[in-house]
Amino acid sequence: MQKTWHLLVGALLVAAYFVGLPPAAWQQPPGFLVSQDEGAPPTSWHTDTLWAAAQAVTAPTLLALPDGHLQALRVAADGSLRARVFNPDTGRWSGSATLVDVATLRRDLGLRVSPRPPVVAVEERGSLRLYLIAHTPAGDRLLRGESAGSGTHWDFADGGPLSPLPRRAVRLQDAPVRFENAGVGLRMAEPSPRLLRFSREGSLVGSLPLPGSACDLLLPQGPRNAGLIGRQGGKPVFRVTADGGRHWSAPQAADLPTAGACPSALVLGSDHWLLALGPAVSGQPPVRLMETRDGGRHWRPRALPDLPPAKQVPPPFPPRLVMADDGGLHLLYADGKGAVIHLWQPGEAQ
Amino acid sequence: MTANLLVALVLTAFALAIPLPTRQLHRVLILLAAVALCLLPWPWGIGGWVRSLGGDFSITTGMLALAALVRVFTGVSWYSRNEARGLFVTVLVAGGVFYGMAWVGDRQLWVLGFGNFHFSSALLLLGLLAWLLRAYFSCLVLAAAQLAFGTGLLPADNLWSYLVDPWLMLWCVGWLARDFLRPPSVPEAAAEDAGSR
Repeated sequence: MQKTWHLLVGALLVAAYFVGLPPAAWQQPPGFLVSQDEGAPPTSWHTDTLWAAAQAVTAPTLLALPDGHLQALRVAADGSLRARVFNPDTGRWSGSATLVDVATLRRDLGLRVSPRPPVVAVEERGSLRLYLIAHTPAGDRLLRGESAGSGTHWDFADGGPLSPLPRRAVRLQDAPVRFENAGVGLRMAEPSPRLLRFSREGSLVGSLPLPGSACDLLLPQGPRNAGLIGRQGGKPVFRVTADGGRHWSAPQAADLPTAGACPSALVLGSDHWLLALGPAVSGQPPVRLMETRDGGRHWRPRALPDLPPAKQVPPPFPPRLVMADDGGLHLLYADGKGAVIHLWQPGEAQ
Repeated sequence: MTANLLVALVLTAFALAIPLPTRQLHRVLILLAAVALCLLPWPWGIGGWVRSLGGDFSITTGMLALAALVRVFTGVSWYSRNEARGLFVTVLVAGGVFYGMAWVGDRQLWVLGFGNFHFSSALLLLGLLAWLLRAYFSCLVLAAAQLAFGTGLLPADNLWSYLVDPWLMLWCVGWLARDFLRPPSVPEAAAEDAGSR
């Protein structure tokens, strides 16, 4: 009997070892996904006010819906998740709707959570996901939202703590990185910059340390190649990796203007990137758009309409840049008074 | 639900650790009440409140609470005093290094918890060492934590959250301090050894 028990426990140990090792542990980390270069739509810019300054909106994000519409999302001061939907055909925004309020979220999760901005939204093959940090007295937790595709109804799940210790300063950064296996990478600044790697199902499966500062942007060039744009001593710098982010080159001065907030980027092709920068000093335009076609070696400004100069530096939130399915370019930024402005170029369908 | 069930086990284990003249029926009722209270939906259930205010318990803490309850209800101990010493010292050292590194901002160990071949192999070797020493409860704790991680029984995606938690560190410190200050009498040690068999 004792021998049977002894063997049973040993077998259980070995079985638990294999069950506890996810399939990803036996595989190479997935490479970065780089979209095909779609060029730039040569059309004029349109502008509208998405949220007025009085609403004190913090860190809104844009999500390209599978039906071609765009959804602007934000965490309101009361912790509820609010959204407006943009129809590129009519060029109009819907009214502001509450996707989920705090009471519903707490009831669904069974926890006393208080969501905090920013919310990061990802569309991948028709599946919509939201990632946001919620504060609890015991520490910050990751919340994951999933929508069937319309973006009107979201199911939220608790992703557990995002830090071994109850730190309160956990903060996700927008502009997710995509991987070949349909997973996404989200940047986290605290306590040191890293790229959190999520599986296709939304589970956290890895964490890649990033050099530099919290605002550094990872821009994929190929499965194992990527650039990292950041700041060192207040000056823009550029690093590259050729092994999927395990090792990075020494920082080199980047041919970019200094930004007053974290930049946002759009990967249009392997070496074709667009960068949206906030103002560094008051009096500058509230947002500038820079473009490179040689993987970050040379940058040139992309023309934007004349915008009233910024008065608030740094701006209350970094600009957010998204491309819709029709190729339309959409930019959210804070104007001089703190209102959320939507600046957009219609796609080829319009 | 599993996370709330762990809360129920831990709360009951601590409640029944208070040396009051309680009848067996009362103990069963306390356990059932704790499970029911912890599994009630938000905001009535205390499981969600405990987890919101104090964080989640690990599988290790849950297993220790389960072992404590089994001992209260049946008088059978799942581990000998020597095994408990080894287990608590190992957990305290591993947890201390893990939380210590996290405290100074180093996340090297935390990253290993996302499914790492070397980390899991080290745990397997530790488990096999415990197995060779006939420390079966330690083996079961390791196996339960890895099985729970593999099946996603708790909300966390990191194996460390299944292995250790800050409250477990306090439990280890408390148990080792009591063990150090109050060495067992000879009959007590003999009874424990008999119970563990």
